[in-house]
Amino acid sequence: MHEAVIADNVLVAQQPPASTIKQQQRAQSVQSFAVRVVQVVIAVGFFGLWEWGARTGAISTFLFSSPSEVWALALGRIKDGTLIYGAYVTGMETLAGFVVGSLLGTALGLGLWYSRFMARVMSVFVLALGSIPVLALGPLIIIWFGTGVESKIVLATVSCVIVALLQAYEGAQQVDKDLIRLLTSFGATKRQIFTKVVIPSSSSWVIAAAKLNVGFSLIGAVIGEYISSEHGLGNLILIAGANYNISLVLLGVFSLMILAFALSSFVGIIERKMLGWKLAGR
Amino acid sequence: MQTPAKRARVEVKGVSMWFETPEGQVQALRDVNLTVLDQEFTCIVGPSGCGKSTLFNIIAGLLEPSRGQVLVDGKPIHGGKAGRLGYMQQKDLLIPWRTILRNVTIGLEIQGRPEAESRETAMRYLKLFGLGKHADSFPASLSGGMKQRVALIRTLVMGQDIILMDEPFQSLDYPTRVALEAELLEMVQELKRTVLFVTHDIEEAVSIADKVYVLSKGPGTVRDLRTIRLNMKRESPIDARKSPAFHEHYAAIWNQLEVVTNIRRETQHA
Repeated sequence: MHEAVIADNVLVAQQPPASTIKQQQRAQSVQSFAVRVVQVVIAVGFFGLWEWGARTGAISTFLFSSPSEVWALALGRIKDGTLIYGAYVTGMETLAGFVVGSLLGTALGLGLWYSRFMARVMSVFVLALGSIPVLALGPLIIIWFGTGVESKIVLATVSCVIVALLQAYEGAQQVDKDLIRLLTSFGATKRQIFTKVVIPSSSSWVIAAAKLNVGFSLIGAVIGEYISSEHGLGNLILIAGANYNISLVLLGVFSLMILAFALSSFVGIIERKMLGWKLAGR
Repeated sequence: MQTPAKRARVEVKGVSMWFETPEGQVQALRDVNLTVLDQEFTCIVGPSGCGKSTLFNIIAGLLEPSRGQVLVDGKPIHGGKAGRLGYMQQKDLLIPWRTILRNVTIGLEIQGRPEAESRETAMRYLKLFGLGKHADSFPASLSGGMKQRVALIRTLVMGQDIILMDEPFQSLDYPTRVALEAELLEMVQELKRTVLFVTHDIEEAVSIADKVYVLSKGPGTVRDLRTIRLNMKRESPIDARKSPAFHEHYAAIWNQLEVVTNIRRETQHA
């Protein structure tokens, strides 16, 4: 097989010299460092101005509170456990709804790949359901599932199921027709094509949906808490707002922000685990 | 010295094909007849739009002809069970989330062959093609030539002794393509496979084939059958390109394809 060897020498992708790679890496890390610095400067500037305005009276603390007040409140609420518990309740509602909604939506979306006829029949209903604002369903779901966590989980589920369905279906449709033909030429059954190609190839679509959906689920859960609840960050904000406790409202908002960030990082970690093959060529 | 007549493996008999289009019926193929003999390397060349791919799909059993039939070892391909012919296309169709090894074994996996055995077969071929060390890599890290080689191996491990190829090296750069042609020839001879190879590249066809069918355009029909046999001794396609007979065949086929450039047509009008 001398040809193969010769060919290999010709074909192996040319590697740039190591020094060039190092230079490029250094340039890249310098830039990411600069990005971080600018981000910190913007954040510090924002909070600094706000604090300064609050202390000099340029900003009304009644309407806008101040970073130090929110911070002091945060420390107190963390100490007595109410903030953590609220975040825990909302986080769990979101996660439960997200998991149920994603699984259900993905299963339905991939299932529609099996039957083009069913997919065409269902498409109008999927669009109809997808166009309902979750907020409008809130009262019904509270009546059906009660004021406890169940109704929030259902709202979080409803918030992400349609997007998960559409993404999974789209992902399944994107599978290369020639690849399906090739597998058919090997004698593959529809089920084998489904498990070996359709499911894994739609995974990147499903995960892309998951990143959006964890946010949608959080919105669903918070809407549920706004309508009627006894716990959770949504509940905390609602009550604080009713009492004109701006510091507490802002604390709730910041906590939601951190919660959303934590949840999407969690999805990001799963993504990197599942899509290792995508990074192989980079 | 007379060699015994080889038996026909693939026979295309009177195949015609019409397609329905909004502008009415269009005939893609007209009464195509061709025969591929055992362990022969047969090429089909033709200009783009001559129905090569249609013919390929019909022979592969993926498309039913409007008229005529395709026999493989004397039995019709249509209505028979899938997987009697191996086939390979221009796209490598490697599955990105599978390692190279698992890409090669996918066909065997589908047919439910024992895993250990499949892996062993796959590894043997990968090593043969100098890709042994890439077995656990993902396709994204391979060059185009390597990927196409993996696609070839994926076809070869299936063990069908008739292989159809539709412009398999078309998307590769020239040196890579010639290298792969050489490997293919060597492999096909070693494994005693029968190949039907579709291409629009006359040079490629003449340098690798035993026999070339020239297809003409609109509707596609067999215009000529040239027995090449530059590669009787199975020299490399590079050596074949150097022989005087190569240019003769090349010129003859070129003339039959009636390639008329637009420039010439314009000057004729002027």
